[in-house]
Amino acid sequence: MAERRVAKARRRKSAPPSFGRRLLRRALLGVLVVGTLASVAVAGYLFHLDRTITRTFEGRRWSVPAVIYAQPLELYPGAALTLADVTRELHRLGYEPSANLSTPGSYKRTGDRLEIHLRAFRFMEHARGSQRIDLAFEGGRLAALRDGTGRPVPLLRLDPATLGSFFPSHGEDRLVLTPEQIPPLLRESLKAVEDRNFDEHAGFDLAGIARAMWVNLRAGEVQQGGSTLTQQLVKSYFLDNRRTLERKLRELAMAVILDARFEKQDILDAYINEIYLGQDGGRAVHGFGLGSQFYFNRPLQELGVDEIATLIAVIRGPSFYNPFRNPERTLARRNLVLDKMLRNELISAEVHQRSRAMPLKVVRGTRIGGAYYPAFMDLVRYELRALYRDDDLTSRGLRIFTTLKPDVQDAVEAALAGTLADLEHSRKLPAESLQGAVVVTASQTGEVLAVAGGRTAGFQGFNRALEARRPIGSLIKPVVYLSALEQGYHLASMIDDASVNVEQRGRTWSPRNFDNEAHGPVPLVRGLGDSLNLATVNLGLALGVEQVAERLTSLTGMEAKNRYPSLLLGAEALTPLEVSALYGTFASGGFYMPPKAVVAVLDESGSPLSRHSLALEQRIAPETVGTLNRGLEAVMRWGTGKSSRFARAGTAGKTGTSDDYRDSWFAGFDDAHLSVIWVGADDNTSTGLTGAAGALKVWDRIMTHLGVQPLHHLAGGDLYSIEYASGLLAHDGCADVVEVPLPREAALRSKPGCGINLRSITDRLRSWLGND
Amino acid sequence: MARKRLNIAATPALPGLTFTALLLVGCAATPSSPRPPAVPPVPPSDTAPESPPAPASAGPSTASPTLALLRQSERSADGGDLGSAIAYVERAIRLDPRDGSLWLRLGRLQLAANRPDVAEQMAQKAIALAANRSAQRDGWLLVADAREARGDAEAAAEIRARWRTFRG
Repeated sequence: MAERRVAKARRRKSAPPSFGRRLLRRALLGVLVVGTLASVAVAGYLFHLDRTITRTFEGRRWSVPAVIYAQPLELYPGAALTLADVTRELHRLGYEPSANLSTPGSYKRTGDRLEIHLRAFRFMEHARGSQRIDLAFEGGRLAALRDGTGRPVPLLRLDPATLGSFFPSHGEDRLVLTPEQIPPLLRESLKAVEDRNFDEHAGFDLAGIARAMWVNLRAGEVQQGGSTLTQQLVKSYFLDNRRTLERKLRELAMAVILDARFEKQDILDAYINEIYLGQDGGRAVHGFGLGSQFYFNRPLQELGVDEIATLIAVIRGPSFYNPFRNPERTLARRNLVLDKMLRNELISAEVHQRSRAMPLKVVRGTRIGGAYYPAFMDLVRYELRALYRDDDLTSRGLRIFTTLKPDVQDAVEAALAGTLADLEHSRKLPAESLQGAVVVTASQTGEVLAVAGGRTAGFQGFNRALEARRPIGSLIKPVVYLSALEQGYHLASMIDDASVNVEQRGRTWSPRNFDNEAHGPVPLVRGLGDSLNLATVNLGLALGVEQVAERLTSLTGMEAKNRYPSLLLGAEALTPLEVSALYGTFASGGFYMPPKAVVAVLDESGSPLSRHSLALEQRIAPETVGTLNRGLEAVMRWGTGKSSRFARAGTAGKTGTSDDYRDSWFAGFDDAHLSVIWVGADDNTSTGLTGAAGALKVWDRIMTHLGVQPLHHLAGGDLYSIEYASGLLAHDGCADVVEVPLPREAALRSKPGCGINLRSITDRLRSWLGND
Repeated sequence: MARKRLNIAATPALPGLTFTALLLVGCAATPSSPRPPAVPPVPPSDTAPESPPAPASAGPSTASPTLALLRQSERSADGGDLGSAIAYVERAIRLDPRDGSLWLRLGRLQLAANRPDVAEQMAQKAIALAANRSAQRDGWLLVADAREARGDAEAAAEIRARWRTFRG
């Protein structure tokens, strides 16, 4: 600086410059300064671009939404599975019939035999390689299970169905492929079709642009894009469709940077995992991994040449070349892709010809890879929210194993939708006026097998199973009767079904029975079975409302908000899921089990991050719950549940109806499944449906699919036959006789004119009768 | 379609007592309490504490699915992987939730995994499902071990005393 000033001074001294030269010098200086500043700015900008694109590239590479799996189907000799059951599951998993079983994901049926080439799958406890198995069916069950060498196998799982993934809120879902999972044909074909000079260019391709312009000019339409794969990748990262010059330049610069920084194959693989391939409602399908599942319901590795060509065809415009909506157009472009494959010697003429003759083969409506069980997914999210941040679920590639059974879920959805439509039709209700929710759990473990949050399957919206809190009506009654049993009552104890007036919140509350009549003294079992309001209120008042409220809390942890007598008739709102927790304590034989949906969460390397073991806690003494369940069986046999086609099949349950028929409830169980069903209207208007007329109908349809496994009676107490209506000891051959466990000291009267079968009861009982 | 429950009347003995050893080590903190071995190998056997291992010729075809899972569970436990051992037993429970011995097994593993509260509840479930007094006793002895692990030696001793006289 100082030197330059000296130099300047010297020059000025020697010869004073003319005005023109001075101007020129000033201009040069200006250019120099501006140039320097511009260079600095450009360098800074480039540095910024470099950081942005490098970070995005590195970050996106392994940013993978968590994948959620259903319960896998267990195969073992003796399992009650038909060939049709297993085939249906294979279809759900995208297995294809095949004559030679050469690839995993295929099966072959021969008479009563089913050979399956299983896919490799990384289960929770171990990774299973792909393998062949051989199943033989006989008489409605799986008779034999052998491995590929013919050795018998005690049990084996199919791979679990994928329920979907927790993609981020901006809707991008992906299923990231490792380099080994990418078929070489896909890489080579992508280059051939989209970017011929990919291996040589530096991220952009002038020759490509020129060629594209020429082709498009000749064709009069856009047939080729001039963007390199690298540019398309950058474009996809930032999802900005404005066509400004600034954006184009930025894209170009980033592509060049990417190309300079990373290996060609890494860029190509990132492209394969990133590119947008279609839209599925609110979910954007990104990458070939998910694209393959979305369009073909199979993993990419199993796709044929024609199917790979279809996916490549879609890239150019997932909406324009939508195989579902525009099949002809897509087929034409697929064939164009096949032609290019042939021209580049990627496939033989024979394969080319065969592939060209293939139809599109896309499958719609399969549930794989899609968030099609949103109600259950809500439950999974809810269960994991305390352990994982949203970010963990959407980006860390977690694998979540759950308890959902797809066949149960499908049965539940069909039963709910079908029954509601039938009810609307038969009762002349406006179409779509009814709504419903269902929770099905395994009755001994509390594991949730199916959830329906509304009548429209797969609809992501208000989840009534988890969120709709509605008065449960008579579903509360077992808590009242349980309290009674625990305070010394038994099922033959007489209670008074007589009118009652109670002061409640400054007003007189006068409950009534459903039939508006009072039935006088009735045995406890009938009070519960016929859901008699007056008998229940009288019983509850004798026990104390507060006692009953506290029992609800000690059973389930839930606090009753209503501490008034109307609680005894279920003026207390719960969600179907909460009701499921309550009835789970009955169905399991006295054990509280919080309904649970998650089995384990594994990280992307397969190590468990959290295991969600079975949890239960004994909250009812075994004999007491055994007695209560006898009462709930009587509900089905003699009481409000008797219209069920499974009333006498060894089931237990309770109907519930809230005031003015606003809510129709049913909770029912057998040895294997507990179902809780709510039917009503979203605007809380009356539907005119009792629990038996609405929710119970849904249950019947569910159980028709599941099949009843009769209740297993817990040992305990001697059983006596009493008349359901009167509570009098009765002969087994009398009408309306119910078997109930009674304490030895219970004093009972016998029914006159209906002889007692003395052989069936103890001497002690005979002595009571003598005393009576 | 009706699904029949699995019928697993008796669970034959398993080879190997290593897992027993492992669990006994877990319980070794209280050597003073005189009691029968806390953890019999799969399955609990009252008459012969050391049942002979299943014959090697017994092919997997004769094994019930739950037994196969118990074997895998035992292998995992022997390898120190209690998490997987528990997962295998839970899988067995899904197949046959009414088999009290599976819940007992699960309880033993939960105790070994240092979760005595869970173990005690599993024992209660096993007792509720117990088909006979002997199975009940096995459940109660697990309750005793769980109580002891929680520091309630008195309750543990009382339960053991109550069941000591009982021989299946």
